[in-house]
Amino acid sequence: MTTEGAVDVEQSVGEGSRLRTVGGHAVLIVLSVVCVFPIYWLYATSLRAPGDVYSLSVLPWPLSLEHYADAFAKADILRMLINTTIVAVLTALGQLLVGLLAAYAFAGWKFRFQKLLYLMFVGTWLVPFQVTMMPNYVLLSRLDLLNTLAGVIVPTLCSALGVLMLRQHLLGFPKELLEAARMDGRSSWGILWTVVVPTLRPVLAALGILLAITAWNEYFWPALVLQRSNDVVQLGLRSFMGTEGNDWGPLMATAGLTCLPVFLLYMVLQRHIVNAFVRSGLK
Amino acid sequence: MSRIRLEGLTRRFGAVTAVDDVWLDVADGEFLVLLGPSGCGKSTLLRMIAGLLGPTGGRVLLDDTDITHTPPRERDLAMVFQSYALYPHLSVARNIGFPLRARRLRKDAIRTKVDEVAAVLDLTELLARKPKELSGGQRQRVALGRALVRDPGAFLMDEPLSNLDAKLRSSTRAEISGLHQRLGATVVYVTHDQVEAMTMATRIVLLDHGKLEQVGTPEEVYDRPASTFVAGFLGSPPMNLVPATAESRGTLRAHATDLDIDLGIPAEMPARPVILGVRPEHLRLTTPEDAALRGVVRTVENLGSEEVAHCLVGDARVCVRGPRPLGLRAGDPAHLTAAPETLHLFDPDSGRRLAWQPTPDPAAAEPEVPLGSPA
Repeated sequence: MTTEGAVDVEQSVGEGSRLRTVGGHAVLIVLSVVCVFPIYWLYATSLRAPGDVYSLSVLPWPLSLEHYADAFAKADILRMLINTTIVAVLTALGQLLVGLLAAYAFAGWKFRFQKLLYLMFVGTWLVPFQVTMMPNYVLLSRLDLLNTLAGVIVPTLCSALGVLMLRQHLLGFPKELLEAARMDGRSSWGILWTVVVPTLRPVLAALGILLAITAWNEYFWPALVLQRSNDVVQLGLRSFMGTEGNDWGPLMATAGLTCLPVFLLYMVLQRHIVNAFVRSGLK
Repeated sequence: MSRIRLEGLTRRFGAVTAVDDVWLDVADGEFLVLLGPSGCGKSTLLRMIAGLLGPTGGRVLLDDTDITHTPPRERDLAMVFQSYALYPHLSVARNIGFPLRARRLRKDAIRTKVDEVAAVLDLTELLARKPKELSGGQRQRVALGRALVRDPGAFLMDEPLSNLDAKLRSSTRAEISGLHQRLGATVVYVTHDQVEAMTMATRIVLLDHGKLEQVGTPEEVYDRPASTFVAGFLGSPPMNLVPATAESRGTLRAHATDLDIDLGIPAEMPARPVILGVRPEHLRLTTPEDAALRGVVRTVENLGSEEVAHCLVGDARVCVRGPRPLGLRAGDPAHLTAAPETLHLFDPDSGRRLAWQPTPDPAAAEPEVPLGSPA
C-alpha cells in the first residue's frame, strides 16, 4: 500500500513538472512567434509580386524579386550600405578605444575621486538621448559638421556601456599578469597593448559587434544630422515614403537588405557575444 | 648578481601593519627563504622588494643603489609568481622572450637567448605551444625561463611550487636548487612550506605578524629556535612545548605534572616558570624508573617508515617520533626521556629562547634572555 502510494505521489510530481515544462515552452513559442512574425512579414511582403503587396496570405506566392530591383533602381542602395558600414565600424572602433582606455584606468589604478568619476561616466547612460540631442546638434552646426558622416560618428564616440562592460572584465583580469608584465619591463601603456588587449580579444570582439550593430540600427541621430541627404541605409528608407503614400514593396526590400548584414554577423558570432555577456555578469 | 638590503622596511594597510620595521641583508649569491604562516607579511615584503607595492617606511637597496621608489621595470629584478602568470595569448617562446622584447633587443639576439634558456630548462620541444597546452610543471619551467632569460640582478619567487603536486614539487625543488648553484644567483624565495625552506635555503627568515622572528641557516633555526613561534612552526610534528618550572636541585631541573627532567647544568638560581621544548624525534622510550616524562598514549600515526605517538603528559600534549614500529599503542603508558643537550627553554611571557649556554648566539634576531633573569 505504502509503495503504491509513493509511486502515485512520484507520478503526480513527475506529471506536474512535465506540465510546467510544456506550459513554459508554449509561452516561449507564442512569444517567439510574436517577435519573429513582423520580420517574417517584412521579407514575405518584399518577395510578393507588385500586385500582391497588400495580400494577407501568409505565404508569398508567386515569389518575385521585382521589389528588390525597384529598390536598387530608385535609390543608391550600394552606396548607402557602404556608408552605413563606415559609420557602424568607425563608431564601434571609437567606442571600443574610449571604453578600453577609460576601463583600464578605472579598473587598474586608484586615484582621487575614482568612484565619483566612474559613476558620472556610467551615469551618462541614464541621460536620455533627447537631452543631449539639441546641444550636440548646435555644436555640430557650429563645427560645420551637419550633413556629414563625421557628424553622425563623432558625438557617439563615447559609450558608457562599453566602459561598464570592459571595466567589469578588467576587474576580473588576473592581477599577476599585469604585475608580471611590469616586472618584465613594460610600461602601463605597453601592458595595455601587449597583454590586456590580446587577452581580452574575444570580449573586445563581442562588444565591438554589439556596438556596431547598435550603430548600424541607429535611425534618429543620423536622421537629425543628415537632414539633406540619405547617406545611410536607415535614412534611405525614407525615399520610399511619400506624401501620396508609401511604396511598400521597395521599402520592405530595402529594410530586408538593411537587416541582412546584422543577422549574418549575429548568427556567425552568436556564441562569442552570449559568452562575453554571461562572463561580464559573473565576474 | 646583486646584494639586496632592506632598511627598516614597513608597510601598513590602514590600522594593520603587514610588515614591521624589517632589516635584512641578502648577500650576493644567497638563497634566502622568507618563511611563515599565511598573513605573516612575507609576500608583502617580497612585493615591496619587487616594487609592486610601495613601502610606508624604510628603504630597499640593490647593491648600493636606493631603489625604494624605482619602478619595477627599472629594478633589474625578475619575479616568478605563484600562478606562473604566463601570457595566455603567447607561445612558450614568446613568453620567455617577452622581457627581452620589452627591452627592444634585436630579434636574432632574442631567439638565441630564448633557445639557450629553453635548452637549460628542457623546454625546446615546447617552444611553439601555448600555456594552456602545458602541464603544471611545464608552465612552472616557462615562468622560470622568463625570469632566467633576463640575467637579472636577483630572482624573486613567490611560492612558485605551491600549485604543483607533491612529486613534481620535489623534483622542481631540486631543479631550482641546482639552477641557483649553477648560476650563483641571488634568490629571495617566499614559501609557507618548511620542507622547501629547509632544503633550498642558505638562510631562512622566519616572519610572524610582519616581524622578523629569526634569521639563520636551516640548521640554526631548527636546532636553536629563537622563540616558541619558531619552535612551533618548524618540524613535523613541531617541537613539544610544555609549561614547567626550572629549579636548582643540585643540578638545574625542569618539572611539571608527570614531568621531571635534568637540564644538565650545575647552576644555582631561584625557581622560575619556563616553557620546556623538546623535538618529537629527541624523545625516546625508557623504563618506568628512568622516565622523565610519564604519560598515556592517545593515538599512534603510521607515516610509513616512522610512527608518531601522541601522548598526554599531565595536561600537555607531547608527540614522540621514531622508526616504525615505535612499540606504543593507544592507551599504553608512555615512559619517555630526552638527553639534556636536546632540550630548549623559553620564556613563558615573551616566548624568547632562554640562554642556557655560556655564550649567546650572535645569529639570533633578538638576544637570548639569560636564564637567571627574573620571570
